[in-house]
Amino acid sequence: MTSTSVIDELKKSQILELLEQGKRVDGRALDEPRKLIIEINAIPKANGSARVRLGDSEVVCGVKIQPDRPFPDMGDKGIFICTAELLPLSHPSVETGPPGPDVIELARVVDRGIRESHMIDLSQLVIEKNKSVVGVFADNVVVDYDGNLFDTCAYAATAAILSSKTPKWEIKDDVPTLVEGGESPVPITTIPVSVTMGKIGNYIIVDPNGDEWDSMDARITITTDSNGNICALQKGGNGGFTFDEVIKCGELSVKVGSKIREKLKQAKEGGQ
Amino acid sequence: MRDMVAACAAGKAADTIILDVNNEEDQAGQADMPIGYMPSLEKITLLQLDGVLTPAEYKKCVETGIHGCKIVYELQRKALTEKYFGNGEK
Repeated sequence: MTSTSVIDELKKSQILELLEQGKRVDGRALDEPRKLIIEINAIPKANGSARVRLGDSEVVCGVKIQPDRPFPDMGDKGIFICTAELLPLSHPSVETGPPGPDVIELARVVDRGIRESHMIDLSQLVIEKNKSVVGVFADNVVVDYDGNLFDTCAYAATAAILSSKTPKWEIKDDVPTLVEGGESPVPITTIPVSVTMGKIGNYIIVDPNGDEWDSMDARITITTDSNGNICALQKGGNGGFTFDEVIKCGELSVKVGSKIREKLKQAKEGGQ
Repeated sequence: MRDMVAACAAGKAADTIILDVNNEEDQAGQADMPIGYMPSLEKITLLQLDGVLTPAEYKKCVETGIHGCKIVYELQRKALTEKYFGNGEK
């Protein structure tokens, strides 16, 4: 998603000029995320799903829940894996083929935020200890790109998990067998919200859009949980942050995150 | 050269913020935060966190990590200075 064309350089100087006046290209305040629209159960056949729009970035997330073998060192816990991919239709620069480093990082940051928050109580997803556990797989597909896919994918995955129902399995003749009518919501302990901030010049902006994303010197993604604690963080980009900026970003992530968490809760309640 | 980058990790184990998390502390620990820092520019160039920290702990963890980076930086400086400006070296 990074290109160093002449247009980007011009955009950057325009964005920077506006920031010096306390403004952003799309008229938002510096600490204001774009409009968030969450539609849950967008894919009726999945165990859970969501379609999320953050400004003009759009992601569809489907959750598949199925029995799996546990990791050898975690026989008493279920499995959670979150992925992300970009469709070629999401942006002119995206091609088919194996994901590049930026897309791999996207999936990892989104996965880490949800994992480290312990959103899903994986200890409740055990069918038979050390043999068979329940796996929750959240797959994000980016269908439209306009910057900040980290948060768009994170909100889509979180909303999809919140909407998910897990089937029930029992061990019969050594194989996990589906129990009819045993569906229950996925056990949730907290709602993680990631907030990505960009640094352009000496300004910190929340939820950079596509033009801002191409112009920024560095970025930081911070995930907070329902208690207002910080549970995952990832810095990216070539530029550096000062200590004060890093602390300010932490505060912003808690403040902005709490509002987004309310929206995720509303979406969940509205969809049931 | 504008600066050198030094790196160190801070973390949390047994509800305490600690510097340079070792393997045992990492396995049993509650949080892990690697930091890359350029002391002369006062810039954090790498920052990651896995694990839950309150905002106050977060601040302390970053402070502790930067403190560690400054220690590593001095060691790097010392090693380079001794190698290239020490006795008998040209």
